[in-house]
Amino acid sequence: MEINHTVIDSVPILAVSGRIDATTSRDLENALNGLIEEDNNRIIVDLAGVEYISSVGLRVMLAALKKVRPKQGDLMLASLQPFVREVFEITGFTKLFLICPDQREAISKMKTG
Amino acid sequence: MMGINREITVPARLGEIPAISDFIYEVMSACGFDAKKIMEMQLAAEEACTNISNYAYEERNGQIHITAAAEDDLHLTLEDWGTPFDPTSRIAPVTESPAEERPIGGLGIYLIKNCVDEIHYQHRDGKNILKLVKNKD
Repeated sequence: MEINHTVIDSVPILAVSGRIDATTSRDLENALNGLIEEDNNRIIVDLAGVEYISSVGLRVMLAALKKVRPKQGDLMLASLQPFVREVFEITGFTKLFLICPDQREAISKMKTG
Repeated sequence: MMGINREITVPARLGEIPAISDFIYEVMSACGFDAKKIMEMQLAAEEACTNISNYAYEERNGQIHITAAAEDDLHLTLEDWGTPFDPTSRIAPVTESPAEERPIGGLGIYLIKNCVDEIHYQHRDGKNILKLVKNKD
């Protein structure tokens, strides 16, 4: 798994590629926690390059969401691929996150929301 | 077509998940399953193995023995020698309650149930035996 960190219009974006499973989810957890510790509470995770996610990955994202929401922040997800979307839908996680079709829309929503 | 029968034994550690996923990919792709069904089975197996590691072995050292028998359907059997743990008894109903409030191991079990066509559990000869079945069509 690979994580690229960029900042566009002051919004931090983590672009993940590869598989988010029990062995790789710790890297995503560390990247999210690093941003949150630096007081970045409005974060976009772009999943365009992710074809697979398991419950460990869902829990990592939920944990991050629970840290930023009380600080008027948000964790938005962009570009879910078909299998990842299916996993989010099965578990009801689509109701917990704001999910955008692509990164551009997520940035626009993050700035206005 | 000829059936495929393969088996592997791995330590019950999360670091073994890629090896289990590769094993499933090899068997299922050789039998002509599509990519979506392969990922669904990989997900079910990852969740089952995570639960074995966390709840049957409670993070102690242990082994998972996996057999794959595939012809028209894939029958994946996972055996472990940990504490009796019946995942089928913990399948949470579909509710509006937040996912994180589901019972222990519940999110993984919920995914297993939705990713395979059949789940069978038995405890026999000191082993947890979990069989997951995925239909090709």
